[in-house]
Amino acid sequence: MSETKQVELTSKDKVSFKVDRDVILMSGLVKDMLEEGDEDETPIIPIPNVDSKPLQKVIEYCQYHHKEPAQEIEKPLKGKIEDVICDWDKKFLEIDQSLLIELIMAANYLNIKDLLDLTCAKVASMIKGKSPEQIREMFGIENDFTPEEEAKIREENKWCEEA
Amino acid sequence: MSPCLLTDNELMCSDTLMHSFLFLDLSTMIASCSLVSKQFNRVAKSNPIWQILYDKWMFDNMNEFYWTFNHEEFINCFKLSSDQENRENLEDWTEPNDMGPFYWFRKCMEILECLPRLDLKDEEGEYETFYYQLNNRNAATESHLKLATILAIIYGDYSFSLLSDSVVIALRGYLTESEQEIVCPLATFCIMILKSSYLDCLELRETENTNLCVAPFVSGMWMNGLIDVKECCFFNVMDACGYYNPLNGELSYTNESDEGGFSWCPRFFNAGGRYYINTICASNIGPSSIKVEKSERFDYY
Repeated sequence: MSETKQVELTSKDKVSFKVDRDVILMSGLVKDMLEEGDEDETPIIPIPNVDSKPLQKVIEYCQYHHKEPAQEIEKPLKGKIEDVICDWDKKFLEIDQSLLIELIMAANYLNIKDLLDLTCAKVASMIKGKSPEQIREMFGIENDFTPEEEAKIREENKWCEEA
Repeated sequence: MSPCLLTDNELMCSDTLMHSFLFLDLSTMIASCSLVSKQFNRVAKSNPIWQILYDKWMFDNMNEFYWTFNHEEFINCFKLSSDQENRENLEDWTEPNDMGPFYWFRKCMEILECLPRLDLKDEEGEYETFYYQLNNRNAATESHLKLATILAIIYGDYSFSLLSDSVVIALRGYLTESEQEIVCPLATFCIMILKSSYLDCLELRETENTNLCVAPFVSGMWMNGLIDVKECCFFNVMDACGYYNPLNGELSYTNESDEGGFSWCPRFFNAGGRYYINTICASNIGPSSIKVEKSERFDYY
């Protein structure tokens, strides 16, 4: 029985992860890199933009979903994200906010569309129904509008809000 | 404040933030996101996001509509209309050179501005009265009056959102149980009424024994079989003008009411399959203000 081909990913903080080649092919970036390399070796692929913690979560996601393809998430979300994703994904998203944002960046960098959709939909679900103040508070964002700018935007949005 | 990845007050990069916003409804994006920070505002009104939303908003259910228009034809169709106020609103849309940072956002907003919105006023009287506003200084056209009438019928005095609501357009038979339905964005439906040529885009075709009708779409009611609970309106016969005289119970057909407005006698049906007629009169009551009055109802079988 032939051994499964593996790939070694090295995170930004120099932690290595060995992962099955078939699994990590979910990443468009890694797939492109592997196509350029030698098939007989166990390639070492540096992922300089992603720390080990989010990279570990990425691998966890790929290990599950390369066999169980993710369902497409509706746009826009009509309710909470938990209503439209599988139990495994719900459990997967039980992470703190910093890691969620890091995971989005990692999914974007590694070009894993389903993971990007899942994590971005989670952020959208967190935003949905919140006021601007609550969103700022939730993500630690400073209000960088001047009072005049804010008043102008409110005026511009007026018709849209009424509609 | 909660920890997160912020660089220069920016949450994530704009590309990924934009990807998140694609999962939001338009109201949240405008009413909330655009006011959070400069980055959120920039992303919430950016061209890529609004071009996608415009396609989805105006041309949703592509497989169910025979849309043969592309964007420019759609806009040109508006411009060629006799609605002077629309022409003025939309005049500077079409030139690609004019495309600014918020081009698609403005395009969507300008379409919205052509559509009437409910203007709730407390008023007691013999008739049910509804008021609608247009966001321009000109008098409403006949097609606007007609649209306000339909909205008054299907929503009554309940508010609606042109940004997020949908309607069910159904082909229903007088004699048969069979029916076909499609769900359509409310804004698209409104434009179909304003530009009747768009009705030709519908896959549903009337026959001798069937009519097109419309009802509000409430998410979830489809699968729960609640569609029949809500009154439906045969919007295709809205052009049948008439006036109901409550003194003698007679219905006379005319193009204009005594007030210089337009009257319609649309046919309705309810869950029990019973048909009835309301007399509805819509009229201009000032710059961009429309009044719709519903008279007493009478039933027939």
